[in-house]
Amino acid sequence: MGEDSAVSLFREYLRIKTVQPDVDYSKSVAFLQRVAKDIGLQFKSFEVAPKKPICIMTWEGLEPSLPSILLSSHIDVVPVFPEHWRVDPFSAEKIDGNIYARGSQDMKCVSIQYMEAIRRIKSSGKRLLRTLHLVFTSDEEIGSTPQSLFVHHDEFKKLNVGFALDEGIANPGEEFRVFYGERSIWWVRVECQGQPGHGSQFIENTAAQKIQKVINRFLSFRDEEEKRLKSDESLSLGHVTTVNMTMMDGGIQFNVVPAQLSVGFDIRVSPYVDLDEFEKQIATWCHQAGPDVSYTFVVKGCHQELTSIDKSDPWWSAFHRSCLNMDLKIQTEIFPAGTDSRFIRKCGIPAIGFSPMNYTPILLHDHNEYLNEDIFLRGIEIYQEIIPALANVQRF
Amino acid sequence: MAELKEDPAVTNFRKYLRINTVQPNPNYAEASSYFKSLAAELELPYKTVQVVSGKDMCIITWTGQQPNLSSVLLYSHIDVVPVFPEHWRVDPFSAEKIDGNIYARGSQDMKCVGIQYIEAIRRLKKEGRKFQRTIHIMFGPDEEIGGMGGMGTFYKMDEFKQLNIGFALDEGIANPEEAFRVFYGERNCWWCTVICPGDPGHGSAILKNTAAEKFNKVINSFLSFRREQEERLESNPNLTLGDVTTVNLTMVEGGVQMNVIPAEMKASFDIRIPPTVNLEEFEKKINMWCKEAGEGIRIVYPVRGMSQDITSISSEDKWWAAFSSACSNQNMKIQTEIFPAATDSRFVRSCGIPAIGFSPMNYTPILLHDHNEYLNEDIFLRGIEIYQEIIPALANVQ
Repeated sequence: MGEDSAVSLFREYLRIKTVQPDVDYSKSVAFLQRVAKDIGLQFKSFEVAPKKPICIMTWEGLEPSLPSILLSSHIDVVPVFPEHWRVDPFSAEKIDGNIYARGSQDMKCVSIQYMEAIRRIKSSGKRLLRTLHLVFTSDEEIGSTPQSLFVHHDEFKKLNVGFALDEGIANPGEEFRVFYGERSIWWVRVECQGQPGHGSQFIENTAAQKIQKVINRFLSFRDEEEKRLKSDESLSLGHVTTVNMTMMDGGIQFNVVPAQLSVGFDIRVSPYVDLDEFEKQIATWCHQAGPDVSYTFVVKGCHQELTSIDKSDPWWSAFHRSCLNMDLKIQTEIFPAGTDSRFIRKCGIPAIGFSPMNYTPILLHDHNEYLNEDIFLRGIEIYQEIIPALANVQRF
Repeated sequence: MAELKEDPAVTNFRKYLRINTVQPNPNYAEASSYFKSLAAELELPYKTVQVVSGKDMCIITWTGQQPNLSSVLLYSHIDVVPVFPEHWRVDPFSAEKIDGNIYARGSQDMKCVGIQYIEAIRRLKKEGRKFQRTIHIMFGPDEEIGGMGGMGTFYKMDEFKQLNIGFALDEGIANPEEAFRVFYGERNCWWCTVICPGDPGHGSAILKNTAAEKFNKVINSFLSFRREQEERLESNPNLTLGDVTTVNLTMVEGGVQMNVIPAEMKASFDIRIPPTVNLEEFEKKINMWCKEAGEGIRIVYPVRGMSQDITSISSEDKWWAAFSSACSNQNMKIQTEIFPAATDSRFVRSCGIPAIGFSPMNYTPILLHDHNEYLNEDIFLRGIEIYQEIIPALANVQ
């Protein structure tokens, strides 16, 4: 039995290696240009920074003066540990209908689903009221600098975006998860300076003692938030602040007490937290760890804007109604991580995070990331309903 | 004019200091020809034994009246540790003398001792003294980088056995106070890397079984043990650093990027264990800390010393009695300790040969491996006199 051409296209896209760091985007830009041409969409790509492209496909609506619909996705994927994978992470092998590849959930699936849904809508002869823009961004996985530049770019303003869709997360259960806000990303690097010396000595004021205190403080806060999440069923991950110690470096050789040790934390701050107060807390933890302990922000997001999920909101109502029409169970949440949506919301534009993957284990950034092909194909049908509903929202 | 009045022993010392034997590329050839010329002056035979290519043990031998008796080894290493010249007040290989202090890398560790042996023997010979036991003055390479190119290999060779060593002297450490420090054992060095594996994932998630949590527990266990040992040392004035186990977290590593929970994090510790600690028990303790920290933690030991030989400092021991009475005859205050770091003596002791670590440097700040290492020339000269008493006492042990 032949594979659905949408699945083949998905797998082809997965095979284009766009893994961080130092992604070569040229092949994926060429791929997107080819697909746009194939579907009959206008295509434009430009660099917001050297080697950091933004690609835009456009389908003009019947009333191009109305604010448009933005369908956003990012091109890059996170690194892999191939030794832990059952297949080559860039082979997109299909085993029992499951397509294994880095990016199969996060988020090459959605890019192809947007395009395939539009291909079908177009070929059915329909026209939509509002203009659709598919925007493909770079470097989302390492802090979204290109997107942060793009939203201030003239090319973005020209798009006149009224509402945006961007990525969500899989759910092993029946519900589709829908995200109306997200936590602020704080990447914090703590550097502990101390007295160096010979490894056989007891030295006072070592970097090691300080980093131990720093780690204990941050990780005990992590535990508190985890307990808070577990003890209250009404909370989802997006409602609490998470802390992960993700980076660690320092030291010269075994028998030298190092002058500096550093640790990096990935912190996601709930939109309900006072950011100034939280930074004061971090400063206190560092201060209490000893002299010469300093913190720097690699990324410090301040993204506490929430998109309306009120029935009176025309965008939400269109999105919500089309889900109901298809009997989709949805579950509204704060996105636990950071997505390109935060920059869109910051411009005052409502944005919803949604990747149509129910009955699917959460494997973003994990080994053996996969998506089932039936779930993938069902997603295209879902977008065939949602996209027209949004693009046909009347002038308000 | 000052140079002309300098004691020739000091001049020889400074000459030796100017031979650049700094790791990682010591000029051993130049050092060997220097020893050869010194042996010729002493009219004693000189020989070299190759340990590995380009690295020789250099031996000057003064045969005793009863050459079948076991011999006395006067050992010193030739190499010195690297320098950061920008932190030095003089060129570290110029051996400049300022106010009687001779500044050079190796002035304390341990070219002083090598020349003191030579000069003491020169004086004893000149006095016409004769001893029962054979004396070997030996200079060895590569002590500062673990000894594998020197004593760490040589002690297993036939040429070592042929020396028939009964007792050895090797390096000690300076003391700012009056007492001379005397070392009769040393701690074992364990270099231990703890590898904490965990489930990777997105940095925004709360995952179970992360490398970070394990890492946190591991360093907490190791460092709280460190604190216990430090408190033990501080609360008991009879203990010296060599009597407690030191632990230092010296290297950490892990992570891919800020938003990826890593699959592995590593912590490396430099641990020094006194000979009184049961090593098996200690290893069990480390294994327990790692087990308690979570699943799958692995431990690797790039270095794991297992020798716990201690040289007797009992008054009944003939070697110790000779050494200590030579000291007390000169009204020297001595203080017996376990050496806190590692020396080549550990190889000698592991053959069952008693060895004492002793560098006659009292009233001297501890500057080994530090910037601006120096030794005062009067302290240096006094050290020769001290060996003039100690060496005969040892070489005449019945």
